[in-house]
Amino acid sequence: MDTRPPGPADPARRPQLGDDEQPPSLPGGWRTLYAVVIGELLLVIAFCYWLTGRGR
Amino acid sequence: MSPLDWAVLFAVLGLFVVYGVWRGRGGRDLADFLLAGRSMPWPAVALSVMATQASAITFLATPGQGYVDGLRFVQFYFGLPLAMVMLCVTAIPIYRRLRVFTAYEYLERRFDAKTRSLAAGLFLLQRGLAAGLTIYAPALVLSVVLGWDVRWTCVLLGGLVTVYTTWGGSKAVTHTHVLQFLIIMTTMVAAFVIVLRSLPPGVTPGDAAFLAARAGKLNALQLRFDPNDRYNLWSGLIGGFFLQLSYFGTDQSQVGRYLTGRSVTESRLGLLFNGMVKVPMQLGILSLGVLVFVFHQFAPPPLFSNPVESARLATGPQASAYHAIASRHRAALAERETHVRSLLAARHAGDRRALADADGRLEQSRKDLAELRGETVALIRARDPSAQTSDTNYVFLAFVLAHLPVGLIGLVFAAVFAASMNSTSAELNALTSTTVVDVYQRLAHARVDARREVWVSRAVTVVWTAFAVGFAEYASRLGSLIEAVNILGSLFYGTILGIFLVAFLLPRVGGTAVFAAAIVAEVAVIACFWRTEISFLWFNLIGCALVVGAALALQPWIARRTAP
Repeated sequence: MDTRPPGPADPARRPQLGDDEQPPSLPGGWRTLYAVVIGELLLVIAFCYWLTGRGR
Repeated sequence: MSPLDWAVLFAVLGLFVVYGVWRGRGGRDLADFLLAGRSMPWPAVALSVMATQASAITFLATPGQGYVDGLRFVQFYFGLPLAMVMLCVTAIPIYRRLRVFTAYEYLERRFDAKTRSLAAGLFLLQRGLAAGLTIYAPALVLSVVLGWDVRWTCVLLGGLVTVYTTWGGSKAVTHTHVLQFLIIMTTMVAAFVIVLRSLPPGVTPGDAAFLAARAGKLNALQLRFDPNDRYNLWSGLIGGFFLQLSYFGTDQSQVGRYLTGRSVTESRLGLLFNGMVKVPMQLGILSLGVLVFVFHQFAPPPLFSNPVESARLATGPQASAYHAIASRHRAALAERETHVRSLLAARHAGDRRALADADGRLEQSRKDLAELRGETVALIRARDPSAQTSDTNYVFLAFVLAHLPVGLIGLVFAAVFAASMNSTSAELNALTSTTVVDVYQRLAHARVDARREVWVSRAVTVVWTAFAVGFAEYASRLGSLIEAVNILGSLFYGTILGIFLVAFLLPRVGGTAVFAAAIVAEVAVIACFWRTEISFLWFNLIGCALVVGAALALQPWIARRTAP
């Protein structure tokens, strides 16, 4: 039986910034890096689209 | 293989073991043994994560897949970069802040012991069997090509990995991953350059791309949505996202890799590097297969790339039929080469009419060759109905043995061994972590001293290696059940991911609700597997969505029943 009271007070339930978390030295920090990763994926998909078009 | 190739192969294998033992020395406690003392910089984390995912079959089957099926398999990885970003935001900060050893340890802190036990148990079941196949699958291919006994090849692979994984734990695993992965990548790049340079004089890389396109091998993107089509943009982005999220976020063989990072930053950068490099890397390996296909438009490929099956046909009761097919095959290949050269000449001359003519004749040649291949497969089946009739995994090695220079052949085989050792060592380390932290420590009740825990971990690693090698030996007699074990991962990943997503994102849902929801979801996913034709990638989404939905539905009801 689940006897734990649900709620956000438990530290296991909510992420917080840790002491060892240094944001990357980029404008915008982590968000910029995430955008770069997703942007590169979009570029690769566009490249795949172009490659597929060559075969038609 | 030449004596130099054998020397290179065994020298590199010896190097892996010695390097692993050397880099793994000095482990004092469980954090050292299971998480490399949480001391790794992000490049080591990144290469270790990539090496763990890239098993030997990845490097054998992927070029073969490119050769046979073109580039479409790359779509399978489209969800991976998105999953890496999601995990950087959610899982990494939580795991690191709680300083857990395993992903399942977190579940007890967030929910309760039964949910932790359920997730850890599903992982041990699925990964324990998968570790056997990680050894068996490449051992089968290597044994066929090298002429070794498959059982001893399994023992050799398992034995090499055990030495450094048992001695040095996670530190040895991470450092050897870096070395092994660099050797694998160097070998792949060298193979790519050599194939490109081996094209006949006058055939440019542009001509190679043109020929690949004409043969339908540049089919990297399928936009049409079809739930029964295994590889298209949507199954890759959505199904692949949930699969990768589950694999990297909840499978201890990956969680254990990035928890070795010395900080949240190092772990995150390791995963993000993987997110940036993985898809282009897979595209490159598939392109290598496509390039080998183009190369074989001018240099005759074997009729069937599995040398054992070919030799059995050539010397067995079907020998005369086989040699007749082989003779027609040679003639058809010569005819195809003529049409390929006509096509290129028409391209260079800009003659559209000649281009269309050559295209038509080439298409007919390909059909003739496909028919001859079908006849060969029928002969193989007639000789032995249980024989392997797919030679995709042998295409690349057949090319390596026939066309790469002496010395590099040994290095390619060492790279295949390295890839197998990569994933096996990470799996053994993860199975050890989960057994020691989620089972042994909970059963032992009282903490034992640090050195004893390290020795217990070493003993557990040996036991899991013996289990994996034993299962690999048995796998050779399982036949089609091997495929069922491969699908096992997808049957459980969605449910486990659902449990973790509820843990991360729904703070009001408690342990009993998520446990019951996981049972419901697992039964539903297994029913989908038996009763529908849905592609296995979608099981990850279905299992995950069911856990989240059922947990949300059950929580208010359970809360009312347990309210004082």
